[in-house]
Amino acid sequence: MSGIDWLVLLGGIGSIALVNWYFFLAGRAGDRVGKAHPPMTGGEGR
Amino acid sequence: MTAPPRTGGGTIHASGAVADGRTSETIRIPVSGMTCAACQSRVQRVLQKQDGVADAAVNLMMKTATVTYDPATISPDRLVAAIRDTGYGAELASPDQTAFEEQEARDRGGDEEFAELRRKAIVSGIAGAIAMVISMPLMTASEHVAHRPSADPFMRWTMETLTPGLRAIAPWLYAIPPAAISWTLLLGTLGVMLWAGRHFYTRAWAAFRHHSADMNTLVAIGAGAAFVYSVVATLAPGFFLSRGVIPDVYYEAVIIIIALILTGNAFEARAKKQTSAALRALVNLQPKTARVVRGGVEIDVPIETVETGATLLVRPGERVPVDGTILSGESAVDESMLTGESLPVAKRAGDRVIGGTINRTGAFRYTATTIGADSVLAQIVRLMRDAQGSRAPIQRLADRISGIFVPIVLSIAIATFVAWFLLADTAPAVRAFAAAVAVLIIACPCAMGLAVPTAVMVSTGKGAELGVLIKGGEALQRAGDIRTVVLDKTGTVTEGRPTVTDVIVVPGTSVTTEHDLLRLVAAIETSSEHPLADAIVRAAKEKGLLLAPADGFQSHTGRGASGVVEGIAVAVGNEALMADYSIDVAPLRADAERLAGGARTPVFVAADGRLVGLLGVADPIKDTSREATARLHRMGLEVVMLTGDNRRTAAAIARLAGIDRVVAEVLPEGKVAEIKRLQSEGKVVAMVGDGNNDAPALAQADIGMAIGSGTDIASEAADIVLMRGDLRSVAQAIELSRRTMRTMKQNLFWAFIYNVIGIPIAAGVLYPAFGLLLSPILASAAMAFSSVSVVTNSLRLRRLRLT
Repeated sequence: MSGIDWLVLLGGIGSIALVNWYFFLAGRAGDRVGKAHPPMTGGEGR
Repeated sequence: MTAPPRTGGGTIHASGAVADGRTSETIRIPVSGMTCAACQSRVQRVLQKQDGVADAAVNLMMKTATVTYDPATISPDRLVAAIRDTGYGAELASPDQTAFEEQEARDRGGDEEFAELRRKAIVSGIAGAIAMVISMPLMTASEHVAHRPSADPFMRWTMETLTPGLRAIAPWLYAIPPAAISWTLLLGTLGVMLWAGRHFYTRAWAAFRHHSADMNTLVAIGAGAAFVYSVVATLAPGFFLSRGVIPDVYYEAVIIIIALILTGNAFEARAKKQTSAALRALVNLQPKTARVVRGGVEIDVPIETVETGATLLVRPGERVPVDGTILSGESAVDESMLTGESLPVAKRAGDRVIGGTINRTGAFRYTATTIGADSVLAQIVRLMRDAQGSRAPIQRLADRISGIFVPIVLSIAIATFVAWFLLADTAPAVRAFAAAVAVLIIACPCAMGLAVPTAVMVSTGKGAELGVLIKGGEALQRAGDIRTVVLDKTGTVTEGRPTVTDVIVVPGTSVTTEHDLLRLVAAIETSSEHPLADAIVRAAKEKGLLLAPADGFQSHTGRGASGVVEGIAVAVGNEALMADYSIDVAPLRADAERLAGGARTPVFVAADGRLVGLLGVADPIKDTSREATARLHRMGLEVVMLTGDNRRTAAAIARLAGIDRVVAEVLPEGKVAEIKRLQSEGKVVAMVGDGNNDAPALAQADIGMAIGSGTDIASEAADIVLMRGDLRSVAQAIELSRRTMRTMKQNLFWAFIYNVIGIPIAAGVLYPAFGLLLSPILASAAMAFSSVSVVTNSLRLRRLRLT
């Protein structure tokens, strides 16, 4: 494999890791931080 | 419940309970611009993340977000702002907006969305065709590139086929310098992307900022990558040439991909609008004006100004404006649009008429009883709207997959690029680029998001046309699993209007004539609300008997009633009641058994502790009951009749109705226990009965079906309301549910299988064996029409014939 091939391979693996981290891990962490209040009781009352 | 639910779009439904000093309120916010399940889950996730939000449910088909929130922490305006921040449209509806106005507003929004998509699709399509023609000279600009590999074999083949003709028609095109053509295409493509395709990019960016990705992300990256590649090839062709790669441009592909996806979206918008056709038809039943009689003068007034108690006039051929009770006149009223009953119903003074139905033969005057949000039509519209916006449990699988779908597709596209780059022997960069773009473009999360909600919408609409109101996706799904149908007897299997058929007097007692016996019994039964009591009182009145007042009236649940009339202690009821008073029924036992064997209910009468007579009360079975139970049997269902009536009478009625199993002499509270017993046998049980009297049993059953007058629409216990008092509706409801489940499963199967097959083909798995590669343009066409096919499959439910 040439240097370009190695670059593409490592870049691809890194990109896949980045995509999965950003959409799955970073997003979920944001969800946990964002929800400060406990769920309220109550509802539509129907 | 603190307040009646309102009908408004942005209306607060109700105030909730207080737990830790905070109250909660629920609001419905119309949301625009959502196209797929990923869009829906993103808006939902963002709302759920807001401080003060207890719960948020977003519905893709109804385009609404229902949010339960703490008004002390967050305002409705903040919720709207949060939705807008995700890249979608949101606006608070007027608090006074009715269900009718809300539906009309949604229809207007749908029409505008379709018109805009169609306009953009047509213009982009024309631009794409022009771009393709202009691109042809570029392809043949130099001979040495004639057989080079192309990122889009389909486009290349199309151009090669058309080139000779174009050379003959427009030879001047081939005289234009290639650089000028490339620049023209660049500017044209940029224009199309900014005008027609801008929402793909703005929404993809808004999603990205919230760590989310949806269909727009895939289109934006796929088309964007092709555009960036072409721009670099235009601005710096030397970069490619120095690496042995021909600087091809794919502007025409970018435009055509956008045009095809917009075309698919436009078709989808139109098809989705058709899924709510039944709801729209119901809304259109509401007349705009009413003819009110004031001081003897007839005045046409707007429907909103009609008040309860007003006297109205309806002529033949006119629509009944609001619910009411007829004062004078006779007519036949077509109620088919609300009840599914095909024959007009005879109406006369004292009868109830429903707003939205059509008066056929005579004119009548009537008093308005319920108006506005409380009217039957408004209740049906509200129920339908809530049902169509509800979710079926089967959707959870699709939701889970579409939540992780887009990031996985992005990963597959990157892996595809790397694999092609490393493994292709010729022009690896070009092939890798084409395959990765094809993967992004062919993947379709939309079909998965539409598979279940479209079926719920069409099916609940179809049900409403038949007079079967299904209260939500969950009820719809559960009704398909029913194995046992339990029928209440009175008013469900029978007409519910019993009449006295026999009056038998025991000779040698204080009561000597049939009239005396009837008068005595009727005096007691006047105070009772039992249907049999009503029949006895009616019989006495029809014979012109004067009823004396009864003292010390006592109702004996499941047995009868007692009291004192003219100083005589009277007991009226079944054998069990007589046993309670130690009264021997032997003298009339043979008569009682004869009556019961003939499907008549024997009612014993005792005076001053002695048996004095026997009444026979018959409640004829409905004409349609036998046919309905036969149909339920053919569907493989067990049919059980539940009644408080005596065993022999119940058995005789069951025989007439073709019912195979009877549970008789059940007290009202025993019905719940009987349902529980059937459920403990592992059966999924539907209970069919009156929405008020049978409410506990309806609630206990897996599916509660309220049958009859249409007054039980709001019954909390019923999952399904049968507007017609016809048992065939039960079979229709179950059949509709079964067909809907089949459609949902087909939709989910095709939505999944499309992606499971399409994505690997786009990635090039067939290339080593067959040399087959998928053009990004063909991929975009497949993606655009996969959603359309799912919606179209759901629309087939509209043509379902359920007799």
